[in-house]
Amino acid sequence: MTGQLEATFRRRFPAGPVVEADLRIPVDTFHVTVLFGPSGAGKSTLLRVLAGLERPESGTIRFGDETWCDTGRGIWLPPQQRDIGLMFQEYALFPHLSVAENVAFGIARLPAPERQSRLEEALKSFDLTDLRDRYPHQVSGGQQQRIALARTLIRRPRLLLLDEPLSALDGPLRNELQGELRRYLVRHQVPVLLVTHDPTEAANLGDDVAVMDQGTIRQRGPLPEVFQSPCGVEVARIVGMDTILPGTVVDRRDGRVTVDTAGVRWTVAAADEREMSRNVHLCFRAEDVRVRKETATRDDAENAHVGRIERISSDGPMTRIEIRSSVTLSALLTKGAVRELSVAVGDNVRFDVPAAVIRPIDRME
Amino acid sequence: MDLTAIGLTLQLATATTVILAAVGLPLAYWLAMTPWRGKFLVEAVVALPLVLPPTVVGFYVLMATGPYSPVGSAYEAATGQRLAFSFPGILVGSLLCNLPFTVRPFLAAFQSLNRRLVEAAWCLGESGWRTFWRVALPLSWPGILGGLVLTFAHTVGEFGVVLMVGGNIPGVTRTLSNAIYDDVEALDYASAGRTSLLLLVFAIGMLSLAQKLGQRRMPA
Repeated sequence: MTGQLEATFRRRFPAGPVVEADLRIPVDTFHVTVLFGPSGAGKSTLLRVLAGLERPESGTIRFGDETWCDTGRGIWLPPQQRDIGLMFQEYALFPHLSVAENVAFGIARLPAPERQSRLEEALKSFDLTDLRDRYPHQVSGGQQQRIALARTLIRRPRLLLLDEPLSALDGPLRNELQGELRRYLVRHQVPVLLVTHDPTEAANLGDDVAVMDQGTIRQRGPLPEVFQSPCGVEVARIVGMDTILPGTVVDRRDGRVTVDTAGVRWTVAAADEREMSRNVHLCFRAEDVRVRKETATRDDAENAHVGRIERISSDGPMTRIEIRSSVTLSALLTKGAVRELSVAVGDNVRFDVPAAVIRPIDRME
Repeated sequence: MDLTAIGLTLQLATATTVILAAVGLPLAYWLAMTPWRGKFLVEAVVALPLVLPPTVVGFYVLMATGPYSPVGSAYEAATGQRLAFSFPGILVGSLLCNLPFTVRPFLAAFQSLNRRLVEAAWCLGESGWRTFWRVALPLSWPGILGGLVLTFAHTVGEFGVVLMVGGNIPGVTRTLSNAIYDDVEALDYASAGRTSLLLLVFAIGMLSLAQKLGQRRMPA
């Protein structure tokens, strides 16, 4: 086996985007690829096509040297013959079967002694031994997830597809279980393709990421690289670059480029300042913006400007502040930092953004 | 009361229910699962006996089962017996008339089944047939039992098609509802009243059972 899943296909829907997937993921080593994008981007559809539950209109899917789908040659392998695992968003546990029966569902045709030993091993590995005689509606959400994971992995699939594995859980539990899920995946050494729209989930679970938007994969690569250096404005927005400003390069020297955005000047770090095109978008994250009182003593902070607070809103555990000078940008501060600042809407503040965190993206015009 | 007619009626209802269960379960499951766009045609044909007068169904069955029709003559050649005006003949009519009373409750039961569960079974390597046995059937049984009860009850009350295809031969094709008709014709209102009351009580009992089964839900 050459160890790669290669999928190139097209699937149209009466409502929603045309899904045009072009995906390559390694399947011979443990590796978590995250399929990341806003809801409605076609991520779940892609997963369903890979699982064999949905047929593409045209395209091919190859797993190693097997062909799962080739619309040109009329080849289509049903889910039963793909030998991979899919865990649904809501887990889809069988309500009429006990926890043990759910876990052993997919190995019913193994000889009894092997079935029994695999079941015991799986129950133990997923801490389900005490729950074995309960029914799915009698256990917690986190436990349901473990049952669903155990039920899929007991078959030793060659690839595990996870559709929003944590979205059925409540907020605090979700964060807590990210680490646990990753540990289970590492322990089973199964290659994973995981769908999520949550950036923290993507960052905590994934090795590689493929960013999907409106049915198409826009960028893929190692996760930190894609999240830090999005290839285009759409991807920048999806990976959480809150502020995106169109600007023009006005000066280049010594690995630094000066960009003008509607009168505000920014210094940006560039590996090769001559390579950057004249028209760019500057992108940065709200958490990278530092905010101080207007009266704060001037220091040599890079890209320091003054602006007026337009809006203050709560964003989970943080507070989001929208600041307007001649451009508008947003900053993300802890509640404590906001209290210390003691500012209100209408006040002027001093803000700065380190040159290193500003990501310039070429602007086609 | 006509005990022979009761026996015959129960025999007809049981045979109809058993055969329709065997035909209706796969048909309804297929209708619930297939992505085929033309399935509404099949659903329409299945529902046809609901709106067609039983006498119309009976007429066509009579034509089809007569000794000069291909079906009737083939049956006669194979068994040496006539299909029209016989028990197998009214069974054929009864099967056709009752098809919607079986398939539609089955279909409703399968349609309310969470499709993800079926897909989960497929992804766990189970074939369509085994998924049906291990997931669809155990989760849909209240609706399926309801459909069987309805079929049984409706066959017991079947009149038009039986009269058309079977005539009214005591011990062969004379069912309870036909017996009522005979009694009224013979001005024996007392006997007709007893049989009618029996059928009324039976129908109320069966419908209550079907209703109760329809409400029953598995824990989600």
